[in-house]
Amino acid sequence: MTKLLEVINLHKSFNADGRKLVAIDDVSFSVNKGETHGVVGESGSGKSTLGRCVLRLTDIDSGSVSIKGEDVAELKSKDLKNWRSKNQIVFQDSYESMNPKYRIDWILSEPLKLHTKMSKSEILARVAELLQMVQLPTAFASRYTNELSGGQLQRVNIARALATNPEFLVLDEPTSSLDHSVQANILALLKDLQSKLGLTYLLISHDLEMIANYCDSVSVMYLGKVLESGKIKDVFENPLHPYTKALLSCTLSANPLEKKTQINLQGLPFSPLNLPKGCRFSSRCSQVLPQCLEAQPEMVLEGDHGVACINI
Amino acid sequence: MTNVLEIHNLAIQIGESENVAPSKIINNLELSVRKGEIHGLVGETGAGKSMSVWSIMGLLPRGMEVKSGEILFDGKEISGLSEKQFKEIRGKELAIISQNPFGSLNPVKKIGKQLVDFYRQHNDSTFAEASQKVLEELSAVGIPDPVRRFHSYPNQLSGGMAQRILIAAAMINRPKVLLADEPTTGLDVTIQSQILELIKNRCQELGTSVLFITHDLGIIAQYCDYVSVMFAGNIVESGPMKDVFLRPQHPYTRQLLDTTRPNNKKFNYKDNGTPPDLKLIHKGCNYNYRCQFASDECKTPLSTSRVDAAHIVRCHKFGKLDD
Repeated sequence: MTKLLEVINLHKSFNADGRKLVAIDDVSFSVNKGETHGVVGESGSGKSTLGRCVLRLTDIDSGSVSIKGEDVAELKSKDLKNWRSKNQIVFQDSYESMNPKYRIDWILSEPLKLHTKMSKSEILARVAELLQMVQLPTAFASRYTNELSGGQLQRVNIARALATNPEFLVLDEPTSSLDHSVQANILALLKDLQSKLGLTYLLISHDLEMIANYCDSVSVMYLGKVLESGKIKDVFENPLHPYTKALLSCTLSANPLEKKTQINLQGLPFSPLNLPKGCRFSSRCSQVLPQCLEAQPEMVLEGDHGVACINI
Repeated sequence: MTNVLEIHNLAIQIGESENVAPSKIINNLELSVRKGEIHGLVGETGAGKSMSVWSIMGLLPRGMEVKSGEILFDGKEISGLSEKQFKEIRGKELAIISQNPFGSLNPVKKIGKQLVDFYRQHNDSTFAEASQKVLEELSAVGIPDPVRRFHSYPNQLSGGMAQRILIAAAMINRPKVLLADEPTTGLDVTIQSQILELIKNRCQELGTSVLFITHDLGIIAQYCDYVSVMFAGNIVESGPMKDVFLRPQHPYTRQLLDTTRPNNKKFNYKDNGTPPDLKLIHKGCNYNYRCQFASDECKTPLSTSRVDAAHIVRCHKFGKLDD
């Protein structure tokens, strides 16, 4: 397996009224070609910022992101433009990420005009091909975004990301606003496209069930830190970190016979403006020790399965 | 068990004029909530879940009208009540918590004042007595430091905390029925489970029945006693939760349950997932345009079939599909 994406010691903070808001703190992971890596965490854990850093939609403070061995931060104007055509993103809110004043064919042809030298007729043919690829009728090309349902629009969003034949896609909560049956259809489509086109995905979500069903590996984030990472099977069947355990115990199974004992987290999370020097999760952890408050636990790897907790 | 809320033959439509066909948002809805149970109402966007709740509360948006049917609350017909009569029961015997707690709270009034107002609306009491009552209710819903929160504004609360405040507001007048309209959408899973536990425990303590609207099948499976599956303004299947989830009969229910186990599908039905055109609703089954088993008989009027005493399904193909 070749590594397609490698993130090493990534740091990113924002300036919030003169105070430092740490969004991502020392995050490392890698994704193999053709696989799907999930990033899961609660709101404010830095998942979306991570996706943006990986695609250089925002600059990073330190650390490195490399895709196919190329350091993303080193790319200069023309190379960057070419690189963008190979690395795309599907944003969370499909309504917000498309211009309502333009028709679908214009929306889908824009990346083609930017990145290729296709003639008008070639562009039209490609637009039709893209719509077919995401299983939409080609007649949709002449519609406006407000004429489409949420699921249809998300398909257009995916088609736009695929327009320039990318190799790597960041999927930022691609189905969070959709109904269950539509969600399943979109994810099945993404899976199908992945095997057909050999795509690599970074799937950002707060939905653990979705991560379990569609990813090969996962990183569990909490307040900018990865607390646990590894192959899906290892992390979901044998969670080690108390936070992962609590998260998994809170997912509700649709099988009424499957009863889980829920671990209810007490306490409140720390503010990202005022992080402790010890473990980020210590304010809500039931097994907290005095040492937990002293220093950040290091990620300890056992094979592929890593966990950042001194209690293990 | 007696039914505290019963809906018979309810139909709601919008936009009827001389040459425009109306959109039928709810048609022939039958639903009953028994005393003390948590009744889950599940369906996709546009199925009419929220609309059913608003019609129960007498809060239908302007332009929508109850075309026919009756809503019996505690044995009394409430769909034709005047606004004045509705004010008597709304917030007192019938309470609601909605998806966005901040939308339900006044941003420029302190939490305590708002809750005191809710209480005094229906109870003859002084401000001091009401405040005492509010503080008790706030601690009952697990708000740490209720006195401080009494003097907070809504923007000083987190999403989970605001939802707790709304639950306190809903329960303070000891309603008979709580309508919970997707109360945990938008909350993180760890907070979601706290809120669900709270609703379940608090309603059990006070003997309140809950009509719980959600599109999350996990919530239904873990918290509800009864479930009704809604599609295009109609209940397609209804029954005790375990019966419906373990032996689903309607193709839509089966397909919906399959989406929760994509790697281990039981039925593997096809469903292209486009929402129905509410203008084209006819006498037959509304699901037939998406159903892979649809045939000509599906366009004929539907009747309700009984799977067993409590489990009902509305499908022409009932008994003809493989299990």
